[in-house]
Amino acid sequence: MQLESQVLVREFNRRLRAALTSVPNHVRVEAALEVESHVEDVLSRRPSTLPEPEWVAQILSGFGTPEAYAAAIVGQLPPVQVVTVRSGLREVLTAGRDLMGGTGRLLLAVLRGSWRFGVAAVRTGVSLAGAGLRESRAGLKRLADWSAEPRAAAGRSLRGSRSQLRVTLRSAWRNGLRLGRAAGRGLLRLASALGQGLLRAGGTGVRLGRVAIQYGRMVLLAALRLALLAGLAALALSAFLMTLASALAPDLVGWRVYEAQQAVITGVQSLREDWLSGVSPTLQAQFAQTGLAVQTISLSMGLLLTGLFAYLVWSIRRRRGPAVSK
Amino acid sequence: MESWDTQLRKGGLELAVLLLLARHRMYGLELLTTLGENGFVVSEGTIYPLLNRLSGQGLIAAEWVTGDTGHPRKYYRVTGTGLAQAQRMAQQWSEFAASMADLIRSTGGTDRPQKEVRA
Repeated sequence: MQLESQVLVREFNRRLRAALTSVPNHVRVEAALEVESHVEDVLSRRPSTLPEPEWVAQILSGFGTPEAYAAAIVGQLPPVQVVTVRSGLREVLTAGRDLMGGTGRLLLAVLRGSWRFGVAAVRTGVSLAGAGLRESRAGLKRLADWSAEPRAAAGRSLRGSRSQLRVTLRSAWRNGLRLGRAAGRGLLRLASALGQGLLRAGGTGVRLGRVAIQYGRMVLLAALRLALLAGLAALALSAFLMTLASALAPDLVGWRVYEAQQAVITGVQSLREDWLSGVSPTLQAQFAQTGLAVQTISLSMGLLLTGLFAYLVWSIRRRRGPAVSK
Repeated sequence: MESWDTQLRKGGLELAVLLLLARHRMYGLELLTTLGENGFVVSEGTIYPLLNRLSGQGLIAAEWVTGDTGHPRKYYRVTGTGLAQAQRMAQQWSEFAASMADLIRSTGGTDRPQKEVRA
């Protein structure tokens, strides 16, 4: 297209966009792009006797004035787009909520399992410690009973034949006492060692329970981080794939998703208005259809998911309950 | 009389567009040309707002396609709703046209001179 023709088309589209102030920016861009595409299509049918700028002016006259054409478009813009956008956004939010719900249930299951394991370990430790104490007490009692028996036997012998067997019995008494003391000491040591060992086992059980709780907590936090990273990575990947799909095969991108994207980018488009004013409508529409829309949705969803994960971590930590003190 | 012709064409234009797009998808100029070949001479300022309206009503769907031409084209196609609507409209149009033909035939059309009506 010659420069003069380009100026004509550009001027028509400038006035068209200016007259379409009441519609979303992507509609303005699309209307201008449609005009440009139509002119490009008709351009090849130019009679050889007619200069190109005049031919372009004739084509543009088919639209009427830019203001009249804008009025025709505005008068027929349906509100159904808003409904479709709402529906599309609702689908996105529902999918995000389902994802969050599934992740939350998984994390809660991990937390519950870790807590139960820790509590079971503590109970085992306390039980072992109690058993150690009971064994120690029983050992002391058996010691007392055993040391008393030889003494009683020696007394009965003394009462029966004190004169004849005095020496023997004294010796037996001493031996019995010695034996009893030795046995008592041995048993005392054994019971003590047993009790101490059991007490240590109990302490170890308590420590194991504490470690289990700590481990469960670490697993939970790691799972949270992993889920967060996986979510963000999935979003980035989906954004990339959607961008790729939009660029390679626009036919495959559903219209509703496209409209949802368009709605999201409407706010962003107005901020980029100054920058885009020098860019051709074709490029603007390509921006609107592909990268920016997907990136905006991805960024929004990423921020939303990050916030929800942070809230989940905070609420889980707050409700963790009275764990075993370190 | 010219206004009546214009109104008649406008009234049938929506049905004609739906019927053409039901055959296969078309872009703006292709649709304009095909309509012209079928006796519907319309301007760009008429057809594009109409396409916008039909698209908004969900009767047709549009998509941008960058083909061999080097510039993107917006292709339109009829949706399921649009197809059902076109069938209903075509049925009504046929009934209306048949009734009108009967009326013309029974009244002799414009061949006979009008009789004066006396009070």
